[in-house]
Amino acid sequence: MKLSCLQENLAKALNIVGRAVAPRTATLPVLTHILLATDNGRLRVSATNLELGVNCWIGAKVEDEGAITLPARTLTELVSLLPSDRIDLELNNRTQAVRVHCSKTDTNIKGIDAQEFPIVPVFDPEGAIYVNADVLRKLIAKTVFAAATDESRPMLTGVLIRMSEDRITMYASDGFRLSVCSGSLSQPIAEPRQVLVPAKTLAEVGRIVGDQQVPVAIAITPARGQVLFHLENVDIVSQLIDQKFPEVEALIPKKFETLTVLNTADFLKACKQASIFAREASDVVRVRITPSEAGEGSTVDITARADEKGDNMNELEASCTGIPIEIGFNVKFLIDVLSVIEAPQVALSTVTHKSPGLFKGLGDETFQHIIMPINLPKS
Amino acid sequence: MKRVFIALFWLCLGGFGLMSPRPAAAEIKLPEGFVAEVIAADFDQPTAFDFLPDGRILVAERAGMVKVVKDRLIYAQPMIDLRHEVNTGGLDRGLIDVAVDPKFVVNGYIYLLYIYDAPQQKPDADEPRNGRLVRYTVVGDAVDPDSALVLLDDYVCETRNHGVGSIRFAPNGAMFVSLGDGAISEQKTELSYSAQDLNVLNGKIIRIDPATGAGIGPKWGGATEAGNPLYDSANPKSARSRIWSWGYRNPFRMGVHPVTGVPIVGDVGWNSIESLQQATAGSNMGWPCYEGDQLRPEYQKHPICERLKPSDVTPPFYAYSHAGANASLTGGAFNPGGNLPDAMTGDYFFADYSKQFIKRASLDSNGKFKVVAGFGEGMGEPVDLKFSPDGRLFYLSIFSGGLRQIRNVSATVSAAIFPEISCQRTPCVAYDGTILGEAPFTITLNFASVFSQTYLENSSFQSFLVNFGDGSATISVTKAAMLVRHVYAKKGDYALQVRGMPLTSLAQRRVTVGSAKPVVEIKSLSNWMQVKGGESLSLVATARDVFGRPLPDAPVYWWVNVVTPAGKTALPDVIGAKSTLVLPSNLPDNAQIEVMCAVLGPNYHVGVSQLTLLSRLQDGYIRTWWLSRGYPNLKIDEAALDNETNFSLAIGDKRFSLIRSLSQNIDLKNYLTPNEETFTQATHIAYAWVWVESPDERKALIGMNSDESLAVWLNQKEVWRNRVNRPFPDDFRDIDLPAVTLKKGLNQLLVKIAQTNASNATWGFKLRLLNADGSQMSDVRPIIYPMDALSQNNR
Repeated sequence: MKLSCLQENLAKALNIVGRAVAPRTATLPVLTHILLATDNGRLRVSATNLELGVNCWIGAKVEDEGAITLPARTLTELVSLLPSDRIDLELNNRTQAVRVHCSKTDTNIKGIDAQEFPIVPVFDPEGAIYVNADVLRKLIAKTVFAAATDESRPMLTGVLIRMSEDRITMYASDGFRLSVCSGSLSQPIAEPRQVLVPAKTLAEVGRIVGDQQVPVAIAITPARGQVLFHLENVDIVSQLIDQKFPEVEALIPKKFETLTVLNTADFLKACKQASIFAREASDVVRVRITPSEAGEGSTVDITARADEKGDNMNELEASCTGIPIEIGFNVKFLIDVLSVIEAPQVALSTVTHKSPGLFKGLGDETFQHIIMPINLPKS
Repeated sequence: MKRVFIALFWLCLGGFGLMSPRPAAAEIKLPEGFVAEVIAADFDQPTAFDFLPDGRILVAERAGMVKVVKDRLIYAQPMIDLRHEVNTGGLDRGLIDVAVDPKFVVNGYIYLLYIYDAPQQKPDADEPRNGRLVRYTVVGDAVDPDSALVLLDDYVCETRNHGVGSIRFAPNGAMFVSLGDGAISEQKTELSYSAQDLNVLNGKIIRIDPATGAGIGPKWGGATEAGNPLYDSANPKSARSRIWSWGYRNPFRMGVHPVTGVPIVGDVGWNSIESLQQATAGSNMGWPCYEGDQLRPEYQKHPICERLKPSDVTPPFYAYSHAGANASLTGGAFNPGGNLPDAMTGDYFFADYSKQFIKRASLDSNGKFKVVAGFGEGMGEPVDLKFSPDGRLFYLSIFSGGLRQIRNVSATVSAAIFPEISCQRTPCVAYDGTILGEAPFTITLNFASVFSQTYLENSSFQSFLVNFGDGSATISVTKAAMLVRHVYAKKGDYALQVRGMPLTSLAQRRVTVGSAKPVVEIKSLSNWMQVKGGESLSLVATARDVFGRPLPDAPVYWWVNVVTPAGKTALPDVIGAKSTLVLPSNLPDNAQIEVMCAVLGPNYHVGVSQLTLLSRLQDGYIRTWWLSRGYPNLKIDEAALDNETNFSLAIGDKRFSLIRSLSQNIDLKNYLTPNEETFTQATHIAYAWVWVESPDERKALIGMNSDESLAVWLNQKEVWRNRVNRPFPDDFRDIDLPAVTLKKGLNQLLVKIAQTNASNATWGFKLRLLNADGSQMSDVRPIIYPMDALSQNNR
């Protein structure tokens, strides 16, 4: 293998595939490596930890075809420190070492034969589903944060993706909150599809999709064991979670007693202030909603109290209809959801202080988020 | 030079071994009750004709001109003159056929078939030349010279005989073209074997796509289409891909069965047999190994004929022997009925140029020829024979008589003795003979031409009795008063009868009084329906005549425009009563989509139905409003309208004008008529009005913001009043958010916006409807003309 590429491109590719590299404790040493392979006049950079695999292609001037795996950490650290110049890579087939030459720097890195590297599937357009990159980015941003991070209930570490006709809807829940976001597919599909994708994978897709303009293709392997996201120059392959996601549609409240419309930015700022005190009181904030008779001049108080530290109270202007209510929420959850609502106003629907609160952007029908309330200590 | 060939034109070789002379003129003999009538005769070797839907007839002259006949007059200006490129240097050469596209009303296409002199070739030389099939687009009474599209130019005619033949259309729109073997008539020639060579077009009937000239492949125009027998999808324009049937000598004229789509081809014979062939897919008629059903001994000693098994050859449906005389079969056409006696409906009429006859063949229920009966003798030299769309038989005699119509003077249904009809709308007679008009409907019958000898050969009518069929008295028309005017007062269907005296022949026409326009209903869409970019619109419409009878075969056209404040963009036209159209994916917010459906009914009356669809708004803010003018020196709590609370806008109220804003913010200063008095005053107010249609009664929020104060009435009830001083253009929030109840159907919404303390400040508002939980309400529609909504509800 002999080729040249730009440091900038290689560094970017290594950064993209880096998240799929197995930790150094992995049983298979080759999984801690990154595969470099020539591929139709380009360089393919691949990594996999057997759950997640990433292929990334960059432009290269290929003189001799070939492939090799190099230790991920060594290679990534080195390339990031090389000058922004042309990098020449040359494999010594006898020693399985790669000479990395850049400007006045010469390095030799020992590798492992590419034959030992697991095959990372490549994209097959047959049956692929297309969704605009900005839609996908929005869907991921508004759901992934609500997925569970602890592995005790594996199905909750995933994001359920439902696709039907021209709609794509993502569901994520950690048992205390639920995010549902929907958007349009680029092309309608004939048969509904449903997959449970690890939230980590989607977070990677969201990170890599960046400002890509072309639609992202989603391919599900026939056995439904894997899903592949085909981006511009990057394929991300992931194992699917083979578990049933709970039926969450029923959890979304259909009725409400109180509707409160607040400025999203003001509400978020108040929550951030409250979180300074709430973090020492199980992250609980008290939200007291007081509708006025005329609907005008209603107020919402956000209060957090730490016995040791003190307390904080913010009064926000709001438009309210319905009955007064005082309800407790985990302030981290509030900050999470308010951070992803783009609408300048947020609509909070509540029933009682023991029922979940429903958050939506005012005038937005694509996103719904529910948060379970926390029992408030009597004040 | 062309005249030299007149006597030799279009002959098959008879039994004498020489070209048959031009047939001697003979007296026309037709069955009792029929007369042959000259429609137009002043042509120079007319070879072919076809009908335009509006009654004009195109007649091709062999030298290369197409002339237009209307009302028995030949237009001085030809529709097209191709004499410079049509080769007439041989017996069968020239402009041999003209055909009108079945969808002419829509596309204006005609097709010409001729032997072609390329620019560098010697004009009219008796040398090998290629045949050409060219499509032109008709504009008015001429063709657009730049519209030429060559569909076929790889047919080579080596000799002066047996060149290009006919263009005919199958019911599914596919085009059949007949092509001769290109061999010389007088003697045996190796060229004749080309009729058996499947890699050339000689001696073939081909079936092609009239849009491209390529062969018809499987599923062309419909799932049941099997494609041409030798179709090769890799090379759809190869000879094999286009060939439908082979083994012909000179398949000069043919007629396509209106149901089966199989051509019945008149193959001009050599020394012995004239054959009518049923050209089924992949059939081989055997020439030159066979002539009709007889072996040709001259051609047998050749591998092609030695290999050809009798079972591979399709015998003629009907054949007749020359019997020692000249003969030249002219294939014909199927009688669609409607003019000739019913017993002849479905018969195949054909002719013989040399024998000067027209005969008719009846088919049995299996489509086989049952019996052939004589019809006309001494017909001149028929070279083309067709039925007009209303079922009248026309034929073209190349040397004598020109274009003739055979008229049934004894039958109860006869168009020919009918007087000329005029009415308020011209023309008012449909091809099916129906006279259409709206009540009270005045028609004028002019008998001048039917009394005239030049119009009606052998006419001996002295008078006509006219019964209008509406209960009024029968009147008698004589030469003394040949104009008759009659008023049909009421809507209805009447039989208008004209009886010639003393011949007692009777002609009858249907008169339909009512709206002549088809009533069109768009079934799949409703007015103000919300659509989104990329959506596939189902376009389904039905058309009925004024009496509610369906018009299933009427052509349906759709025009769809995307209208935005920046202008109007037309989407591709769609044809068909059941179609689909995909909207552009980048449909702008608040675009309106105009959908117009037009149906072409009888006699070219066009019925139209139109509706408007709305692009679904991403943000829900209403951008289309009726705005009042600005009223100076008034504040939010003062009224400019009398009885403000009970105000209801009447369309036509001059104080209000319709505006459409690109932005969600309605900037009033952009839209109100500049009024110095208004804008220089510190305080002024204006009103905005819109109807909102809700599918049901429901709770809702009105999301609003304004600069500055505003008050809102919903269904004549004040629901909000906010006396504030605030800027607003950069504020994306809905600061005012009253909860309201929308009623089912139309809701009336009046907004008053006040500028309270600045003369030059911005002044505006925005408003949208939200569901009670704050989510977007996507199924309510702002309505600008309430009648649109009401008419929709009445559907």
